[in-house]
Amino acid sequence: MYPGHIPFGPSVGSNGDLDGGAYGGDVSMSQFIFTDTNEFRKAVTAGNYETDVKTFTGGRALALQSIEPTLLRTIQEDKHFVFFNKLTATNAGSTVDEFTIKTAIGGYPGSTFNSEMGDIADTQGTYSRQVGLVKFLMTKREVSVVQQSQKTLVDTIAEEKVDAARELKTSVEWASFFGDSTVNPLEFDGLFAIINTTNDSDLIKDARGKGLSYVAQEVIDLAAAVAGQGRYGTITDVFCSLAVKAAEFDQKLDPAFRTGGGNQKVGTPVDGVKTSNGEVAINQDVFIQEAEMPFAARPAPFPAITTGSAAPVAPTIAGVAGANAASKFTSEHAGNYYWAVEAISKAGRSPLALSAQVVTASGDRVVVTVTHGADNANVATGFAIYRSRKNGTNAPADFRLVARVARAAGATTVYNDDNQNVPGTSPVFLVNMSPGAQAVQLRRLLPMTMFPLYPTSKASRPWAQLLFCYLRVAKTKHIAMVKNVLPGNASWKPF
Amino acid sequence: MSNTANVGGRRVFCLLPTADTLISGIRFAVLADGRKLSEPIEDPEMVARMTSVPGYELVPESIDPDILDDADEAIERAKSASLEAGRPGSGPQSIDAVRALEEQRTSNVAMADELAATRAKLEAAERKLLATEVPKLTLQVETLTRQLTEAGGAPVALETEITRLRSVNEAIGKELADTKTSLTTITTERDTLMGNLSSARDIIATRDRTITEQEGKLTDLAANLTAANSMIDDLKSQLATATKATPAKTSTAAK
Repeated sequence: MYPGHIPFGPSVGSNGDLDGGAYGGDVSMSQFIFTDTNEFRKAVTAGNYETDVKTFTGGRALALQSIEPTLLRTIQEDKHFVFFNKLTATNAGSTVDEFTIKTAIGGYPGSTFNSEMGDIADTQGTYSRQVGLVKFLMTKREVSVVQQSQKTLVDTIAEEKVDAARELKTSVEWASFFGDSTVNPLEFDGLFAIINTTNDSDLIKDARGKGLSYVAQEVIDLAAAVAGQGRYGTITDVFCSLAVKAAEFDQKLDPAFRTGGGNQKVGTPVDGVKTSNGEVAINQDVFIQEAEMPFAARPAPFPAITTGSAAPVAPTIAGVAGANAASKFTSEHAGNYYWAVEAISKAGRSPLALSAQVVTASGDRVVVTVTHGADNANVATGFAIYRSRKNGTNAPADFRLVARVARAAGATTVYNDDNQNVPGTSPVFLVNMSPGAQAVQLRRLLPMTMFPLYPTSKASRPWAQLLFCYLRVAKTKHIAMVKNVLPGNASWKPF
Repeated sequence: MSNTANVGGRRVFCLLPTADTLISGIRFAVLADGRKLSEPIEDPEMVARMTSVPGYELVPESIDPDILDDADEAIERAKSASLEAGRPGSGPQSIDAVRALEEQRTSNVAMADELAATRAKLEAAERKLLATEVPKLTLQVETLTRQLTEAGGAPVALETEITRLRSVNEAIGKELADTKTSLTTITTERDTLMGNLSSARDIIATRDRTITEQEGKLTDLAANLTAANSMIDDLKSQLATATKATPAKTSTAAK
């Protein structure tokens, strides 16, 4: 050391030991004390949290980057496809999948009694041929050769393959509940559309924007209706949103109605509900949601879809209230409302269009008239109609989905809002999933398949992943629904 | 300008906090106290609708005319601004007109469809009739009738043909009885086979689900394996760097 030198740390000897002794030797802390501020400034420091590597200088430039070697994912995994995983998959042989159902054996209870020589009544079973249409789910992925050559956290192609598989499963899971071929002919019909089309009042209960009974009355009643004469089915599973599972089953259902026994209390997760027609498993499904907001109000990437290349032109919307006998607007619901609309095309949504405020009284029907926007390359096939809270604002985040409707011929599409569908609520589906019953199945023309595509003039590896299938509900009498369920923990309340 | 509450129609207050200045086609002015005061509403049904909703009130006759004047001025300004901005389709009259037009159009289309469907049915029925044996048989009957009338009775050849056909009929009847017996046997066998098939389908369905689950797991495992391989590569690289940096033991021993 030269005179006046003020060390900035323990010096290191030629053998690598700390100066002042061998390993275990004492190191004086006085060596770390700086008395000359100029020397202090010359100290090699770790920098000031710079993140732009090009600007790294001093000690920051010497530091190795601290990168977590695994990819941290917040995405849907296989366990989230609850309905898909429970569905029995069978193979269809053609895009038009035919099946025959028998709905009656003939006669009625007591129809066979006869006198000794009386004419014997002629009767027979009821048979009908049904048709299901296979729909085509496809996604394209592409990874450049440069990307494949790089050292990456994960194998990019493998990762993209998994993502593509999950994208297909996500579409199947969502469409199994909410697909509607009248709104988008490329979709298959899901449980909601099928139950509404069948429109059997015994198989639909309406919670009217309230919660479920604490004694599982809805589940028990619908299970009994499905088991009754003329249907002869068994409800095995309930599918509901996470919020309904938490607030309406786990935190509400009387333990006396829960399966599993043991020391169950209100708040214990509910596995199933006991009914006279068997135990019904309660499944929560992340793809059933109350909070279906307009795309403009959702987090990325949704808003960009409304302005992207696949977006149709925005329509306009107006609402006019008038008394109607079919109305389910009661005095509790009377107030000011806004309506909003998005046009739906094959792969996009239009920007959101808002109506003026409409005063709605008890017994009113609001005739919502959507005037179609000019057609561009992305022709609208349907519309998503949203409604605000009672006396709410017209901010996009204050709307929730009321219905998806097919586009009518002509310049306008009219939707009559009788308050039959309550925004901000979710349906609870009850399904016969017994494998032997074959009530609800996934019919596949093509199982999930990777189909290589060919790069024409690019250094990349493109491919498509395909799944051709549809949800076959052969026994429409074996599915039921409680609609308009508002979980007690909902932060957005429609009224 | 002097004014009274109900000249040209009834006025209402809207006390709802998020009320707009245009509600169901009726303009409202915002008063200093935050309440909203409507323009005169000519449609009594609209007045009834609004006053049936909690948060709306009829304006009393005793209201200060200056308030009404101020409100009317604000409403006129808003109307002018709206005309300039052009908000098509938001007024009740234009909405009614659009709706009436659309209803008429829908009705016309439905009637045209019905007419086209009826025409198609008629044409199909005519085609079907022509394609059947009816015209041919009618001609045959006419010929036979003419023959019988001319010959004065059924020809001998025809009686012989009837006898032959009767014997053929008996033979077919016997064959039919045999076929029925054989059909009963086949039906029993078929029921047994259907039972077996149903069991086999259940087994296949269970296997299918297992395969789907295994496919999913396999995909996850592949992703994990890739991540692990990447980590191993990193570790190998770090090991190589560390090995290079460490002085060789042999040279220390030589010293």
